[in-house]
Amino acid sequence: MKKSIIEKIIIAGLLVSICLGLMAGCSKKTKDNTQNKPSPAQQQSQDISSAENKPEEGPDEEDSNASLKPDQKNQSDVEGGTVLISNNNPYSFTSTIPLVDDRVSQSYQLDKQLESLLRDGNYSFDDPMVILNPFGNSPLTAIVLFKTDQEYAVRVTVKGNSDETNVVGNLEASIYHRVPVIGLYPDKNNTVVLELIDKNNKPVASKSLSIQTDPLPKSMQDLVKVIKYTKPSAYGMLEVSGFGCPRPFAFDTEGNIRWYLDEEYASYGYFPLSNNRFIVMDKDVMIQTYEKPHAQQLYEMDYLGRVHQIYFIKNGAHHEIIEKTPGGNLLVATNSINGHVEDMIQEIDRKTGAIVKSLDLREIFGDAYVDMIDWAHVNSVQYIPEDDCVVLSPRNIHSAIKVNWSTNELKWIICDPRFWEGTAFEDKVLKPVGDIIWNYQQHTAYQLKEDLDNNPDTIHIMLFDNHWHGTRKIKFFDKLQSSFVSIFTVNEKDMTVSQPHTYEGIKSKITSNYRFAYDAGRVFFMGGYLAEETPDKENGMIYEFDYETEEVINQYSIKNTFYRAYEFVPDFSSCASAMRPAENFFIGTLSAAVVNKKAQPVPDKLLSEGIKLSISQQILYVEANDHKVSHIEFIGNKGAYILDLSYTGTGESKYYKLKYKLLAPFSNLPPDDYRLVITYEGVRYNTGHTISIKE
Amino acid sequence: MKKVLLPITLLAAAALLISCKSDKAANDRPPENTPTVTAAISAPAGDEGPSAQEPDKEQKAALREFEETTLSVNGWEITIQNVIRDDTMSNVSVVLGYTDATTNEYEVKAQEGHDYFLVKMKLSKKESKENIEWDKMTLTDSEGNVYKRIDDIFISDLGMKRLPGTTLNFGSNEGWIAFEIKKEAKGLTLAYDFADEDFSYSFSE
Repeated sequence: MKKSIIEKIIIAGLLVSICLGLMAGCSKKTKDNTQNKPSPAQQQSQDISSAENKPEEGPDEEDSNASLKPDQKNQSDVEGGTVLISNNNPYSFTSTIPLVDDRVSQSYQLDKQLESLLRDGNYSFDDPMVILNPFGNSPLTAIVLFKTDQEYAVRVTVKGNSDETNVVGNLEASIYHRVPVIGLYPDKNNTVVLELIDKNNKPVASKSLSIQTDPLPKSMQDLVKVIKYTKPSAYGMLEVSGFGCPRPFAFDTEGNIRWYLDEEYASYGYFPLSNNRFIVMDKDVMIQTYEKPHAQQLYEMDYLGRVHQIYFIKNGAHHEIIEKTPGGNLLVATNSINGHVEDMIQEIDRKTGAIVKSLDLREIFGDAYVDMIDWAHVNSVQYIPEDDCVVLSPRNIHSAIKVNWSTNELKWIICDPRFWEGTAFEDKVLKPVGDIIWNYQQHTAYQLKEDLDNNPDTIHIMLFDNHWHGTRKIKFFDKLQSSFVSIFTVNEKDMTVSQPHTYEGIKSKITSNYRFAYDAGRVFFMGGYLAEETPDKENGMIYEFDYETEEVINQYSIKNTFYRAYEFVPDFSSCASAMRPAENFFIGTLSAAVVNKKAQPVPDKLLSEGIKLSISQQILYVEANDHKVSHIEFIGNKGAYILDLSYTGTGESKYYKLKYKLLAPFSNLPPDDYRLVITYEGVRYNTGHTISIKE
Repeated sequence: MKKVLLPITLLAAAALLISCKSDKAANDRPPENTPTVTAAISAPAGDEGPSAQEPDKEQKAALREFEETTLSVNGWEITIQNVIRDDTMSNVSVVLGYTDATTNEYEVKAQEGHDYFLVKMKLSKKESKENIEWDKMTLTDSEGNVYKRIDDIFISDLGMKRLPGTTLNFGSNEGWIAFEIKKEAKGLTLAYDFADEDFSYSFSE
């Protein structure tokens, strides 16, 4: 007969509590939240040591310090007001503030459990372990674990409603198999076929699995509708995200959602990377600006939902995150927060998070058109290694531009020439050859790598022309009622531009992008924000055009607005690998507290509501409504430090109802016991919390 | 049993208080709280995950003070973290738009004469050979009415983290599940029928 064990457990727990409480009382020392556990990279090192039967050695501070790079050791410089963020910090700390594991550590813990199950469990091809949504945030994925007695490659197929909608992955030969399943249907008992492939590339065994999934959240049901389907698409699946689609998702050519992340991210959705991962922005970690706040904490993730890297962007990120070269540094659209926003590009070192270069567009245009806070509104950037240039899309000056990345020299402007007439930049505007539909408030201007006209003297720029002038009115607007994906052919020697192709679709006034499947001869028009909702209550529209004929081949509507859409190509191989967190997986640059020579004593008044505090690594997160917090002070026995967040004034009242977390790193502070003081709604409060930084 | 539990609880609380008080006197600083499971869970940092949200202010007002309880049963560690009981569940979320912050409202109502009973749980698989099958989890009232988890996908639309409705066989799973109970239901007990042991947890009134 079974028996309930609750009472026994409660008593045991209470007795343990008594012992712990008395022990703590005897030592007269309160147990703090202590941050001294190994990083995933350190843990990984330990795991490897352990696997090799070496004596397990816990990481110590000396080792951590020894592994620091020189620039990380200089973090105690509190004069500059910025700090290079790292998970390898010189000092440890304790605090009364709750600690929260960073997302990389969370993913790594789960990943290690999976690896243990694979290595230590007795899962065979005939009786594998199937784990749906192993990382908790990617509900239409699974992992299948099993071992074989000899090496086999594996082919995994999520059976679609048709051959075109099958999702197939191929994995390298191994004895230990960790098979990612990506592309399950929601609310369905899916059929997944595993095949073992021998070294002669022949299938030797096959097994069919049934994997039942949950329904989609109601807000995601019926998101996609197939408006027109005439031929197989160049892209098997499309990923859509941002704005009205805060959970990134991918749908197949039948309009069925086959992948999504069950987490809401900031407005700008998902940015693909060359390593088959992507970057999303945490919507809850922001920097205050003069206008809307911008995300500061970014996650590099894979399709299973594992977070591999965390980046911090000092002045917040917005419309663009893109690799400078494949696998290289990140180019990020950010803010000068020097009277203006959305006007700066930064290059971020991929390994350290340091800012390699900043380009404020005023360095190019001086004061031309610098007549509003968001005067430029840069929404795309792309580096061209052949001539060390960047192509930018400053939407609010109706221009796509090319700039030398080393010298900041403006090379040319694609814009209606009338816009720049009479300015110092008139001669930089490319001269039109033939008829051109000019771009107004465009998005995503990129140079194509393809040579479309067999002319070595030309390059091709492609962009999404929203054809809208809502933010910066122009007298000569042509009033065309459509948006366009446009291809421009540019002769940089002659400074001329022609327009060989335009692809016309429903008016999408903001956001949106294009994609060019050159080999398949298709152009995708990703209209993310329709000027008017359709009678069928659609707010986004995607067209797949034939490149040559400019005819619509396939068309899908999206119920909600979105920011961008991309081809969705899940990489099974990388998802099949165990996590190997980088030594430095928590990187970036942030504003930090500086010496406060006019420090006042800690006030008596306690702040009891309005904020919520937490700590991850050595960053303090202060959750509050927009522009409620203006100063964060660390007041120690030997010195006082202050992070001044008042430089954006009072912001805009329409954003006050937004609640998000402000970042206050403290890895730059010298060892001391700090009391935390926050200025909230203009009044200094004692938070009642302490952070003790130790040698 | 209750007679035994009460003095032990008081003794434990006293022991912890003594510890904090000693420290406060020594440092002349505000007491440094011993980290508790409650604090860790109720303090979402950026890294907790964007969707690991608590109910909005209105819903929080409806929450009773709730003390977390963790039980280890049959190789699973089960923590009951919170409950909400109401006939209407609503969420008012503020979303950053392109040029403003918009307010989205979402509301669901229980069927006539019923309340929603939402339970926030954390289920961590430790050494168990068993999976969690939601069909085996029941909520029973003092009249003997037995309730099963309902189709609660609406929890995600309320902006709250929902526990998957599929079988749990790995890792640590945290979120809310929903039952729909009779308005007059009292003496609610959550139970799970493991092969070797029973899990049961009684909610206080």
